[in-house]
Amino acid sequence: MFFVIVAVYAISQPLPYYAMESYCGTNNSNPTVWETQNNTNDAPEGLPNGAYAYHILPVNGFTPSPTNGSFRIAGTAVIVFIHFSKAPTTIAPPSSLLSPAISGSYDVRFIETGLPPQTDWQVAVNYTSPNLCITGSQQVCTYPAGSAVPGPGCYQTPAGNPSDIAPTLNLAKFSTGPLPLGSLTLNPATSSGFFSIYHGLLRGSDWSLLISTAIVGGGAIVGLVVGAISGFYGGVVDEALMRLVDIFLSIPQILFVIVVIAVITEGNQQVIGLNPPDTHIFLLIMGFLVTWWPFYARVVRGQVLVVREQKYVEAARAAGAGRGRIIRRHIIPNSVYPVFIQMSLDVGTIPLLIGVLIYLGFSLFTSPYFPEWGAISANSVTQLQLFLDTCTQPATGCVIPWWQILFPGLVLFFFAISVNFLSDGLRDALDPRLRR
Amino acid sequence: MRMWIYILRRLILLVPVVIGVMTITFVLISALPTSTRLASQFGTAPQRTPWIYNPTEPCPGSANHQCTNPTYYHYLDKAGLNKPIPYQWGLYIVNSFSLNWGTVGNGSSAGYYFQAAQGQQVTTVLGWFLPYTLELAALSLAIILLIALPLGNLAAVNRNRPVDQSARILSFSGYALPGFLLSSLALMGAVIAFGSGTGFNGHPPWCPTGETTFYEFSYSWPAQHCYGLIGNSGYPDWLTAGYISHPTGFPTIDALYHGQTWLALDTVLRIIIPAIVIAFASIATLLRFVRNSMLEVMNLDFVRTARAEGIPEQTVIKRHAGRNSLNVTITVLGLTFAAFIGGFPIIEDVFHLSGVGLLLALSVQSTKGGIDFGLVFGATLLFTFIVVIANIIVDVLYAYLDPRVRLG
Repeated sequence: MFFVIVAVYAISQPLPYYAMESYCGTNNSNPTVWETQNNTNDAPEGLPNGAYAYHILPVNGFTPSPTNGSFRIAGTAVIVFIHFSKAPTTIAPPSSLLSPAISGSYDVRFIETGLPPQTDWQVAVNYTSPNLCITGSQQVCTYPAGSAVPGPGCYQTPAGNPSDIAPTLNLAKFSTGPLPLGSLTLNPATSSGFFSIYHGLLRGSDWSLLISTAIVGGGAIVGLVVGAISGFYGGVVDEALMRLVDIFLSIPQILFVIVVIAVITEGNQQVIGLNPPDTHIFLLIMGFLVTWWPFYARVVRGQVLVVREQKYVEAARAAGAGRGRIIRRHIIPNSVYPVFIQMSLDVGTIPLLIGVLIYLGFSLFTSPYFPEWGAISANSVTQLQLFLDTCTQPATGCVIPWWQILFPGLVLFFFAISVNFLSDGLRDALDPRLRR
Repeated sequence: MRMWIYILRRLILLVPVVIGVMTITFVLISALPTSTRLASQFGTAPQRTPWIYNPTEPCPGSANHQCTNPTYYHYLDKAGLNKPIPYQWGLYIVNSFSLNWGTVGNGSSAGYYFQAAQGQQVTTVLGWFLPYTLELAALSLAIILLIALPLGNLAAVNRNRPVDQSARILSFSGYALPGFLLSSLALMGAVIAFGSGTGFNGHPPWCPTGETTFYEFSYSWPAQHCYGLIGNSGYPDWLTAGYISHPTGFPTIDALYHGQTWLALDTVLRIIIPAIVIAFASIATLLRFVRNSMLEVMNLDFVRTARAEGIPEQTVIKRHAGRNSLNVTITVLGLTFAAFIGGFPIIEDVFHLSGVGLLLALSVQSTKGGIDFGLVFGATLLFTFIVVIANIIVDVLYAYLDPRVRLG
């Protein structure tokens, strides 16, 4: 029930696209994305329906360059023009640009930004949700015109607040304002781009809960089905499924997730037609899920082996119930509670694993400002490493930024502890032997 | 005799698992673009000449044919990428078993920080770095066994007393705190505890010119200037480039082999803190299982009989009940070994230890170039092999300790 409530809550929330600034923001299209588009190595010789191709057309007065034009990705052609001008004006793109470079239907979008131009027209990556960058919604993390500091959607320290200073834990202020949890400089070299730990942790609860519950819930469903089938039928089916479980259990989880995301993002940025931040999160969830279900399958199988020998299963069989009915009505309900316990234990560890990925320098999310508990914690620890590199003589007056470590660490700790208590409660509530 | 049959059976069952893992990595490799695959196999990426779609000039800069680089096709043929998929799969399995895992490129952080690795076979490079990881793993396993077993027994004997409660808190914190946080805090703690003013930072016997505390507690070897080599200004002959040590590759053993006792001590000193941090998470898991199994065993008949016979309580706990917790420890260690191994990249990254984990951490970073897929897949295969072999060892140990397993 708890997970249902959490999942419903998380899904009902509007997903904040904090990670959009690299797509809507500063200077040009995402370099990795562009590289992928530029890579025509794998295009078949005959092309037109091929995955990667772009057509450069001369634009009024400009020499053709890879930064303007149109392109087509995996069958859906989307053309995005970004117009850079100092004053926000609406200029229609030249008609030559609009002449169909590729036969078929495609979508044309225009974006006006106020940044100083490098070239007048630039092609951005394609994304299918309209108006994400154009409307200045609170949800969007963008850079205001001519500024290197991200806008209000990013969880940066509010203007006027002291940044990169130890928080003052003034209890009297709790009722009037946000918790002063201090802030974290993301780029100490330029001392720009600092963010508020409080806001980040607050907004991170959405993402962390969504990702954790999706991974654990999905893994539990797959594991439950596989484990029930394997335990109930036994014999060759059991042997084959358990070998499969062995295979997946012997690949270290973190490595598998790294490999999956690296491979798929290297090959094709737009895997399933989602927006770039969504694609990464989807891949993250799927990668974890693939390595997560075998644990549950093993747990369920062990339980099913016990349950299937019980008298009530025999009675059901004697009463003429089919195999499917026995599995659905008798086996699964009676072997599900260890999974609930294991699930609630596992939910707490997923933000830690995400933090590990971020800490390894693996660009999991498209933005360093992505509000996820593990990511925030990993960013803080990276800062501590920089501190250790630059300040090797702490006795002579370096201030250790303790708050950058403490508060994200506390959030992770209390999250894990609370789901741990939840698992204890679930054990008491669900185990029929203890309930009696 | 029965034991050998059991081991042989386990080894035969290993083959489908290993082939299955290789199949999964093969599927993932197949999803890579062709140029990336060639780069991971040969170290260089021969480019097909970019072919730009333009109806008026199909092949810019040349005649209407011959758009592509001939060496590209040569490499394509060499890698078997123009063959059918089942053939490619067979080739991949054969290559994996014959340790032909590809070549380290020069476009990643791993190639940038370990220059000597550029263009080498992946297996050669992994061979340089594996001994460091094994030494660290051995030390941390020793710490796990030395702490988790007695503490678990102690917690079970003193149930719900302060010892038990503090063991529970230890277990919780190991479970709820991420490894990168713990290891950074440990390194920072070492810097503060042994920093300037504590007398440690001066001139230790193994480094007459001195090293800062931070470097003393990270890196696998002392800095270049510590070896007292005048003129050469570098590492000794048996320590090529500062991380390839000869003849065995294990840092401590090699230092002892060359008669450098202080240096051997130093290599151990550098991995003590990381070993404790790695052990911490495993101890957290183990403690619970050891405690619970001890609690179960303490209520069994044979323990009651032993007590009734008047055997001292200490002997009952150690000899009769304690043997059982060893079984549980080994089983749980086997189950969590993948997670244990998965913690190494973080620890070795934080402490700059030149092990396979650091190599992997560097090969996925995109700060100094792209991802080195040859290394990534090589390290994944290696870690998987280690986990599989560890599971076999656990099974055999378990069968040795519990004769019922062999008979079943």
